[in-house]
Amino acid sequence: MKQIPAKQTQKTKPAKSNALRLGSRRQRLRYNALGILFASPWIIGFLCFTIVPVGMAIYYSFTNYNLFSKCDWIGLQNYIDIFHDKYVAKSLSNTLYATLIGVPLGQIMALLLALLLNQKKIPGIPVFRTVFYLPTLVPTVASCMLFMWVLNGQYGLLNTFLGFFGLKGPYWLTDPNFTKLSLIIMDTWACGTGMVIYLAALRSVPETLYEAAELDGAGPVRQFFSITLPSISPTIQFQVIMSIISHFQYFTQAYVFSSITDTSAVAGGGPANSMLFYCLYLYRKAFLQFRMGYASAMAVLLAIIVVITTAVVMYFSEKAVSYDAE
Amino acid sequence: MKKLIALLLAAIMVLGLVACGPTGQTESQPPKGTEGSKQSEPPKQTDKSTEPPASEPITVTVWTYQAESEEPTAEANRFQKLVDDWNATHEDIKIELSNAKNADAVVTAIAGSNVPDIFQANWETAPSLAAEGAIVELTSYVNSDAEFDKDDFLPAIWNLCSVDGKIYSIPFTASTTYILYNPKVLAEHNWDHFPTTMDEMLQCALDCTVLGEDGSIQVVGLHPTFPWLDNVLWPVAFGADWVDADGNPDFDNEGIRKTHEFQKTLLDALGGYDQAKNWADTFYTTRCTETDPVLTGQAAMRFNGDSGLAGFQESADKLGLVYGEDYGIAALPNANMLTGGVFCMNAKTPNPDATWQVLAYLTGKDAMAYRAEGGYNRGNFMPRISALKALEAMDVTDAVKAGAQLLQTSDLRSFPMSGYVNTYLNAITTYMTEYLAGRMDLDSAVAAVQEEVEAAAAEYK
Repeated sequence: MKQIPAKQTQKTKPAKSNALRLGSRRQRLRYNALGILFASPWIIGFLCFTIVPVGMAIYYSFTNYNLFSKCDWIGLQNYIDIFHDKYVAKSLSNTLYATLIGVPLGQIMALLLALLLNQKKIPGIPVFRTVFYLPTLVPTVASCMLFMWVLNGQYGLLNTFLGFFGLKGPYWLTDPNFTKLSLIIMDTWACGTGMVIYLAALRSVPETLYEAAELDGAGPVRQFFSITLPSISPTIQFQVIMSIISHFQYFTQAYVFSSITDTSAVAGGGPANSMLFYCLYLYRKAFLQFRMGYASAMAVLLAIIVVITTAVVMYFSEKAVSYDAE
Repeated sequence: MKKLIALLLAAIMVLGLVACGPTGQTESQPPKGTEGSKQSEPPKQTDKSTEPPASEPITVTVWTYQAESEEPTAEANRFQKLVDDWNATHEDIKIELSNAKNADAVVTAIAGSNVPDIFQANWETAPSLAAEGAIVELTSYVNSDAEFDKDDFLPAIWNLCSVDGKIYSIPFTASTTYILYNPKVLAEHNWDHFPTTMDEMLQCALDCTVLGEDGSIQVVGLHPTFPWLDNVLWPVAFGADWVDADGNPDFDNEGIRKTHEFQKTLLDALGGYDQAKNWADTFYTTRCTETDPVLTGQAAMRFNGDSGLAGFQESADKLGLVYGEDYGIAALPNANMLTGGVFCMNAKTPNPDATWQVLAYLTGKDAMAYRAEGGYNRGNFMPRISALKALEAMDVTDAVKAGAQLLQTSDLRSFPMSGYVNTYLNAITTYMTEYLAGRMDLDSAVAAVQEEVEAAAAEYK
């Protein structure tokens, strides 16, 4: 029994040395094939769970697929219908609103928290880090229930707090002008993941840069704008892009929030459809009205919008991103 | 070697794709035309898709939304007991029960496979599933099965289960609207009796509403909004209808207008929609507990549409309150709404007759009488008259007994079923809330609902 490992070692050793030498064409091919073989579990998963579903979604977007029966090819009809659907326009405008307000606010809050927690002289920093990260771990439904109470227009914590300063807070949950802001506030509260990523980026900025700047007489503000921001700019770019994508896919919070505040309808969209986000409407079409072909077309359209938006953001942010610190 | 690796990779990918294919392909019965090819497969294959030999029992899968619980009388466990009893006495058909499912899981499952054979659905979902051909029409089963005894059900419940006169689902729970009221609060405002007409109810609610000097709500006469119910409840109470005699959408009618004007009057008396909604969001979380606004005197009347009556009376008992003196239960003056949970049969079920036997058993007289005992034996409302009578004879609270009687004696109506029922309900919620909140006038809101529903109806047809 003890001889078996020895044999295996003998067999694997030459293979390893062959692979490293990569001498002949045949050996290179063999090496590549082995690589593909080892990667095949992922490749199969990628094909089955990404490429095939995406391909099917594109196909279904040209059909009247309803989930239950055979579908017919209807060409571009779903796409034409989408452009005439007032709820698509409404859900897109809601989604854009949440993206334009929520992304910068969330990123600024995460960065500010990361800057605060990057201080080395304050005792108990690990405790603060944990505390600020905790909201991220709270399930969305629980967060929504909590914020139902916090944002209650009459008895809520936030309006009570505003009342101390003589301010009368709005009806956050029932006034369509404020429902999206309510969601943004809730999301900003749970910005722990972004905070941790920014914290890691801040930790990687070389101390020598700050020391040199200090010798040159630069104050904290100047250091922040001239050293910190450029040094972490690749992280900011990454975070912003990921945040934009997640905002375009905004669903769970809106579904739960609108279900709680507007319980007379499934995936209702809240007061005046102010929380009808694009993916919520897509869900309604797919799983409540069983128009999967239409929903697929909406999904394809969303993918195109996300790709274009990401490309635009990358193009315009590329000049502002510095990789010097790396 | 290269070819060998390429072949190996290709084989792995194909296998992977096959393994990840829809389960329905492997689990469903083969179409008749393909039976020959299936039979030619090796006999040792144990694929589920092969027709089971006569000696093998048929398995009927049942999915419910009921939450798993350790409490033996919980609905999930009562269903499990029924299933265990069946399986112990039937060799030819076995039931496989899964609880704690949800609507999305069901839709996803039946889209691709014949599992489950029977599933729970919300009353407003079944018509949409019927419209898409996803569930079996059960009219002939219901009418021809004498033992099932269709007439034992509350007559109005069949409207909830039918589209265009055809039955597509079987009810397994029933719920109507019960007005819980505080006679002492009514008496404080010179109402010595519960309102007997809708005009009286409005006046009584207005009389009992008390606002503070700062405009905040002190006592609610009657809050007209309630999750899931207000869209249906008030039109029923006012005798309004949502469709015309031909079944076409008819939201733009006098009854519907009167219904919403009634609600708006009540909301305005409470300081407006926003303030009233915030009150409801806060105080409705305490319903049927010891801080229920009716029990604490913060509300004169409110309606309760679920099975919380037992909890309501138990909370009242803890507070030392007496049924009939400190709190009461009443029906709406004219008519009451009826809702319920339903079971549907998957259109892809390979054994519809066996599935019907199971469905008829689970919704049969004995099963419903057993389930009427409810969780913790507090009582549970069933759509069968025999089960409601059995509930009245049980050791349950007065409020639950009164609820059972109301179900049998009230004039009950439900929302008209159609393939676009979800769209209709969503449109009502969206636009009529805008009216109630003062952001749209009544004419515009009613017209918007009518327009949207007409479009949905046209698309459905």
